[in-house]
Amino acid sequence: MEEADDVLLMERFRDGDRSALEALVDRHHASLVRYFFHQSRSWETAEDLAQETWVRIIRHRAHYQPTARFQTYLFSIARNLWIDRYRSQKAAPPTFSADREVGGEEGEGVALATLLPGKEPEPSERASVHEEAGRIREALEDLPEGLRQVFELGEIQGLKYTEVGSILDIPVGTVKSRMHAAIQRLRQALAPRRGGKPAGKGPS
Amino acid sequence: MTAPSTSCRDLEPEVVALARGELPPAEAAPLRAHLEGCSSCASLHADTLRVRAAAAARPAPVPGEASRARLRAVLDAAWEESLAEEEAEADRRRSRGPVLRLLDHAGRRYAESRAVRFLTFSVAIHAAAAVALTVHLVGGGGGSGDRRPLIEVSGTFELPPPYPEDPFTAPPVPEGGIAEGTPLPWIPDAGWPVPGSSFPGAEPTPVLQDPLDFSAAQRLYPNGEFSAFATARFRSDLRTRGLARAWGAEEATAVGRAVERSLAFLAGTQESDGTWPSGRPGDPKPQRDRFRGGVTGICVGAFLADGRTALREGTYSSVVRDAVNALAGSQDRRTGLLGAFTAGPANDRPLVNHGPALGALAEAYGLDWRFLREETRRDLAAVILRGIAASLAAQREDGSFGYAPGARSGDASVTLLQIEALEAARLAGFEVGRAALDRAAAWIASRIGPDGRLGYRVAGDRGADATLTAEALTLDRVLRLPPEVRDRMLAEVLREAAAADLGDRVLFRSAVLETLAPRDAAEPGNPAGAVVRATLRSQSPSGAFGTRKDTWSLAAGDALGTARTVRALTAPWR
Repeated sequence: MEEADDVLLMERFRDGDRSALEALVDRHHASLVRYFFHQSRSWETAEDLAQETWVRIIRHRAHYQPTARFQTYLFSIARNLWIDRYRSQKAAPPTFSADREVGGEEGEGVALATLLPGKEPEPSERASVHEEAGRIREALEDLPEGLRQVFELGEIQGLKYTEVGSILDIPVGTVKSRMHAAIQRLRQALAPRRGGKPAGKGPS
Repeated sequence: MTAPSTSCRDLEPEVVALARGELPPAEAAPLRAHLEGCSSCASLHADTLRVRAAAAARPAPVPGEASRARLRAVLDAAWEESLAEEEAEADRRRSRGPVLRLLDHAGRRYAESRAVRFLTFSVAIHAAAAVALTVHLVGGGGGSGDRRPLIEVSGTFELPPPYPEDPFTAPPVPEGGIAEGTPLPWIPDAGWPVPGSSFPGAEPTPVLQDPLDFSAAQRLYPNGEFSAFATARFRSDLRTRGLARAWGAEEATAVGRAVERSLAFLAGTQESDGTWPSGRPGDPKPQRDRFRGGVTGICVGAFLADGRTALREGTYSSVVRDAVNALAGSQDRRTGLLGAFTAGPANDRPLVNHGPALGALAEAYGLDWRFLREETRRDLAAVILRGIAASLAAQREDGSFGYAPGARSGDASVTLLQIEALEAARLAGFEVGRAALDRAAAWIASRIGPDGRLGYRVAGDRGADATLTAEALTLDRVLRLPPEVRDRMLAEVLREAAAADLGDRVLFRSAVLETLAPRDAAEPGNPAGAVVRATLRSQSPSGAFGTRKDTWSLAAGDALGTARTVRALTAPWR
């Protein structure tokens, strides 16, 4: 099982096997970047914080105890980092302009003169999904931090309520009710003019 | 089966959990049955799936190969740092007490640079420890009690052993220059220069075969400078720690914000061709173009100092790319000089433009070269090599540089600009040749008077001032001044800093800051906190750091002072 593998890899890394970290990075770096990107909406911040998460893992590896799934451990560190960053920047919240809101692919191996963030044409059948994605993104920005965190962590592949609870240090019941509250608000963003039944009403 | 007494409202969190696959089969089955007959719950179930699909479809950057390579470099450095820390911790347990004994407060930076060179060149120390040490020194440690006892220094130092055999001999520049379009003799036609390569005719130096092989790069640059150069700026942990260490914990956040605002100011004042003008808005065009290349080079340096490179996708990458392209395109094909955006009488000080332009290109290349497309790398490296050759060809017999090649006398400010640029090129992997730097350094050293002030042309001349002196101190690592000389200079600079109104002297202030950057804010007698506060107070609402006092800054405009200030404020983690 991959989860057991992760813990084994982390134990091997703790005991000095550098290559074990590579495997963990390969598996989890992309979701880490994604998590930070959706928090910060800045590619640089996402890259910075994802890097720093791994640096912390390296620095504190001697203290690693395999008490939970590796992802729980990883995202606990990530979450703490984000709180630190969020607090230190509270006085000047990050801003971003519309034309920069998507970080874009890294411009590797491209001539300086021609380098611009790539804009791939999107298949038309994906248009509505993208439209909905845009609405969800905006709705998430309006969500209270507590609900947003539960939702974002829940969206990281494979994280269960219990794990989200242990990362955020809240009971599972609270995770469940916050996830429900988050979904209720987000679904309204998806179909504002659908005219369906208002959320949360209507008996069976 | 659903219990009839349970209302749908109570079921809703369960429905969401079901749609997320959180329910065990025994609870999932009856709930599914309930969904069959309840449109409200079924719609919630469907919407949950839809919300999740939409959330998953939100665009997000995928770390590309460049980002991965950068990550690998950062992790390599952090790993080696942690090994060195463990080793140091073991050492500490073996022998208690601080081992890093420094001559005195003023000698620290010197001691560190000397010690690093001494260790890395003469002692068979593991490259890993050297790398970690350099990163530590560059990035700074924690509090003042947190100095890691990696090196033992006491009493006087041995002089560092000479650099490895100096392979450089100045390329021959034909009489009357080189005709347009002729391949320059020192640029090989076949193959292309990469870090570690040298000019034809020199002894071959090892060349990186795989540009992404970071550990090979570390072996190639055994003094660890490359590692620090290539990774420190991308590490926000070093940034946080460095700011707090050098400027004080209270100032650190404000400094970070000031840097952000300054970069925004610079990005906003960049002109459409990618450059920044000199002078002030409304000045006649020749004035605006006179130092355009130099100002642009220094502005690029500000972005690079904060880790915003041309290929690091983000808010400012296009700013840096445009400026790099403009500078590379400004090269005079005949002389190799960079940064000339005007001709005739207005182009009266070409080396003032050339130095910063060359330094910026070299640094931009050094930070991104592993990610550049091969032909871009070759072209940019060729521009830089030509630029290095142009600098060296302009060096005077006595080691100094004047305003223009062939100038009748040397000038300390121009000489410092060339030293800074050549050092940047060396760090980026170009074989510059230590002899040229040493000759320039010796000339600078000979211009320092008994009062500790560096003169413009000779020691003690009318131009001798604290700004120039402080700027020389920021290059101490390259100049390798004798300790008693640098102590005298530092004392003079700090005396002036305490006496002067720092608010309006942007270049002096930033040079003082850069000089203080390697130290701990908490050190007794370190005025860093006060200088930082004076700096922050002087930032205009636009984010600029301007001046009406420093002569060059007056001629060059607010972009120069702003960029230099950013450079100084970010120095603690570079």
